[in-house]
Amino acid sequence: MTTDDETPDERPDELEWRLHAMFSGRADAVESQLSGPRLRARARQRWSAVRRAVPPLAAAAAVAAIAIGIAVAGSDGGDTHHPGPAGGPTIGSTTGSTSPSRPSSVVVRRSGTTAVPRPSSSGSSPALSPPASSIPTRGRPTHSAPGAEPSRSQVTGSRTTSPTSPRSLGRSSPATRRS
Amino acid sequence: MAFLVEQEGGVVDDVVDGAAASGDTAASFDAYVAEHRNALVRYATFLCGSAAQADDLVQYVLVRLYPRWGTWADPHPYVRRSVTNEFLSWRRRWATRQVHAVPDAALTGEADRRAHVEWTDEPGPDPELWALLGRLPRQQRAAVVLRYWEGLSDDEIGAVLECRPGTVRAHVSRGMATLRAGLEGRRP
Repeated sequence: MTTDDETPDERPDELEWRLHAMFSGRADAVESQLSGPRLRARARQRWSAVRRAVPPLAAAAAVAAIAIGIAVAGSDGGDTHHPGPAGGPTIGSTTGSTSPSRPSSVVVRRSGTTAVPRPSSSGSSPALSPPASSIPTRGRPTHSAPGAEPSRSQVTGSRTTSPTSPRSLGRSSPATRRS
Repeated sequence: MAFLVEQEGGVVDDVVDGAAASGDTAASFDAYVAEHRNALVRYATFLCGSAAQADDLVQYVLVRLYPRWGTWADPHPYVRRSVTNEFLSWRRRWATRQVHAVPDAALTGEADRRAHVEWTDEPGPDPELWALLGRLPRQQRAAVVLRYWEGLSDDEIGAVLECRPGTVRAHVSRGMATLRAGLEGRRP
């Protein structure tokens, strides 16, 4: 048989008795150490420190988790900024372009193959007229007629707004835009 | 809402609603520590051989369990099991945190050196048997302490050590045989 069923002799009782006596004596020694005034005060101090430390740690972990969640949610929605459908039809829409454009105050109507901007009520505003240097001139003239406000995309040089028909592209010039 | 959690070794603990109020949890924790701390430190002292290290061990376990306090209807078996498990995995983690003074005699053999790393020769009754207890393997030492100090049965010791009752009997038998042989070898 294995050691599980070893036959006890006389000595295990003596050994057990010695173990009990040793454990009891040392337990009393430990008890006397633990019940000393200094150790008792130290124990109180340690446990109060524990109770002070654990709740703030849990609260900090919760705040960090919420912050990470907000950051993850923000990164999901912030990478691609699509304008809403509130904007009017864009110049690009006249050429069949499907590229979205930002809402513009300039409403462009389609008339034949030429896009005609709606003239503003106050005419051309010098303050809103872009300087010549800011107008994109990369071989891509715009369609704006004299007296029309340039669209925001034209002022900033954004390429999201497509020009109109090829015929109107050939006729427009910076001089007409500066009127 | 109350529910049951089945532990390894077949022990099933009644677990009460974990959403206890923080004030009640703190009061329950205080009451438990006031009642059981000394017993836990005594038990841990017999495991690791030093009252100071036992105090640290018990504190470490209680700090870890405090956020989940109020989960167990009777936390003492779980705390005792946690203390034991922490002791059994103790050397691996704590060896890097503590500096031990190793006596020259302990450097003669690897087994003795390892034993002295965590066992201290504190003054007390029967130093011969105390030193032999410190040289037992940790599983055997825990089984002997749980049997002859805590007075647990084989099944209860198996639940604490996460092993079968037959393994518990083997640990106790081999530990006692080692102690007996050590005492016989030192007798004149």
